[in-house]
Amino acid sequence: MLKSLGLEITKREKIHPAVQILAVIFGLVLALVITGWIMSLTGNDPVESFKVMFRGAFGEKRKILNSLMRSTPLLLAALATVIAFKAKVWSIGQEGQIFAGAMMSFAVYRLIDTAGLSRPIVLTIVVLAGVLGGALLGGLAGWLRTRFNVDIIISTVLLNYIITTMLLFLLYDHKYWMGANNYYPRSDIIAKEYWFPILGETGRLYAGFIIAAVLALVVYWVLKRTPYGYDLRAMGNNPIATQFKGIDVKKLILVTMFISGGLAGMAGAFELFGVHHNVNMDISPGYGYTGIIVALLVDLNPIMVIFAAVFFGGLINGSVTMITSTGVHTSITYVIQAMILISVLVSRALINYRIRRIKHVE
Amino acid sequence: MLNDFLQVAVIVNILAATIRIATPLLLGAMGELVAERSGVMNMGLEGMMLFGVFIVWWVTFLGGSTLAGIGVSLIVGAILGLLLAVLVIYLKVDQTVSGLAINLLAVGVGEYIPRMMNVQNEVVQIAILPNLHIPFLSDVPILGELLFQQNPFTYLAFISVPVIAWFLKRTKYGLAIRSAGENPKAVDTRGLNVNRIRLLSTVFAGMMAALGGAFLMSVTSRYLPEMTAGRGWLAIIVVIAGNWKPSRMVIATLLFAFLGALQVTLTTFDIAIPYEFFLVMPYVLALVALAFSRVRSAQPEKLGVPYSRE
Repeated sequence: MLKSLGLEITKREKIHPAVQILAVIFGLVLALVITGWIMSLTGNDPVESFKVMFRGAFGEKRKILNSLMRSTPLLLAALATVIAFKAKVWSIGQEGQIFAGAMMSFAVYRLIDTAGLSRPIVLTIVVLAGVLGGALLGGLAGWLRTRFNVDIIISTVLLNYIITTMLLFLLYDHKYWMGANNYYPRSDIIAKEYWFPILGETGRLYAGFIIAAVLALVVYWVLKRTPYGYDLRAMGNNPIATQFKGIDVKKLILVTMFISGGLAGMAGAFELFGVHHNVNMDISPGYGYTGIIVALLVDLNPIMVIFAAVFFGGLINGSVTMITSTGVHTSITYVIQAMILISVLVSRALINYRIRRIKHVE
Repeated sequence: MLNDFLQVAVIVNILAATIRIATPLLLGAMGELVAERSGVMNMGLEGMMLFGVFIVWWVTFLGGSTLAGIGVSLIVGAILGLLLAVLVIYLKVDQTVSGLAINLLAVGVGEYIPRMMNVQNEVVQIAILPNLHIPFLSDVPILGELLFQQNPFTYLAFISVPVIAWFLKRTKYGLAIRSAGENPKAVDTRGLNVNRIRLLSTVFAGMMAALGGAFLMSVTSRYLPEMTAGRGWLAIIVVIAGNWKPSRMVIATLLFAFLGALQVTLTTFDIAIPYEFFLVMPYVLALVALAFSRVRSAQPEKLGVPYSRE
């Protein structure tokens, strides 16, 4: 059809970085337009709602700090995604690993809560426990892949369901974690002296975001400068050649799933001791999945991930203001996220091609 | 109490529930089979099913009938299949990521619209489709109750198995679909359009997934966000565990469904096993099944590989 018009579609050899950035911006705008249309379907003013959302996210110092607080689990889940996806290990288990991290850190906390330890020691122990919890769940998926050839995508999805059902079981029984005077599935509150201290005199920001941002730099360095990072990128670029080069692919997959899971698990411990202060089913309302979008949006760049995570953290934080002042429900953030993912994927794929006039006819 | 449980009536109950619970899994899995045979892995199955559920609710909420809801959900399923097909076939976006996008969209829309449109949170009465009693056969003791007093969707799901098996194996269209998954180059050489075959197969998968969701809604009557609860993923696993063969897929489906039926039935008894145990069983079984079903002999050669001419 195009040929008859004297046009053809060819693949671009090189794409200018500015074009790539433009494509992402175009995708973001398109996503906001479509989401705005869905908002107007339910009788809300999209422009006003987005304004309120933006002010709720970054309008004043306290709100910025809270947006950073919200972006912490997203940043960690996104880093978990970067590590896995760079190696073309398609793990979507970050959500379950966040829960596993929170659960492991809570289990360890219950062992040491009356030992009279100081706050820094307890927080160090529980965060490490969280890392271990996430790493074990990630490692399990890695082991199922290397030992039994079970697809990582599918095993991680199943493990997400399995781990949250396990938590539901623990939280619905007074014998286990259900709080003494609760009828809801949630645990007792953690002793206040073991909460993460709030930084600054306003807002709810704790040290988690700073640690996560430092980890982003570490991930960048590991990928770029270490032998492990080199092998990981090599496997992502060409898995078959990697095998011929004598790299132990199975070990690489296992290690990658372990590290990826550990990063997500840390987010679980952070959410528990920095934000929620009790275990409940909302420890992660989909942060694991949002983290994947964050990572994909910046094409798995571990530095840019920080900015994308702050953007999405703001989105989540701003949506809370939006529901109170315009009545638009917070679940619109899921719609925005999905629309951003789809439209950025499409616009980024489209810039690989261009339509031109056919020059010479054979 | 154990005696109660072993009564014939209870067993028949469990088996009838097994057939009922198998319905959405089987619908989703048979659609997925066609897409995968053509070379496209539809990872958005869960989201497509979720859309099927939600659309039936929405149409009914807006005053339409259940049947209209089912019709619209079929159309939406086709659109989602088309979206996925364009993403993975033409734009060559990774299949995991494309599927994830559809799943997330389904979660978002399926929660946002009901919350905003149905502010009073009134219960929308969805007319449950009546069970279809097949004359004479449904009067046969036990077997009649099990097999011939089921929902129209259930008959459709089980009839779709031999029909799709025959279609894939014996018709020239089926051959084209299978070849697109095994050796797309050969299909191209014969002058058939590989990408169009894959696109149509993916659209079909979307419609079957939505139909599975529509069934769920039309037997439940009460809408909850994310009420597919992983059934779409189980349907994908059914295809793998069944080694891409319809007859084995039925066995895998019935196994998952039996566990689901046990949960539904046993929670009405006072049994010391916690309810979450049954909830989690199908997923654990799925992992075990995947770990030990190592025969992948019938996996399409080019599954998940976009086709380009050079």
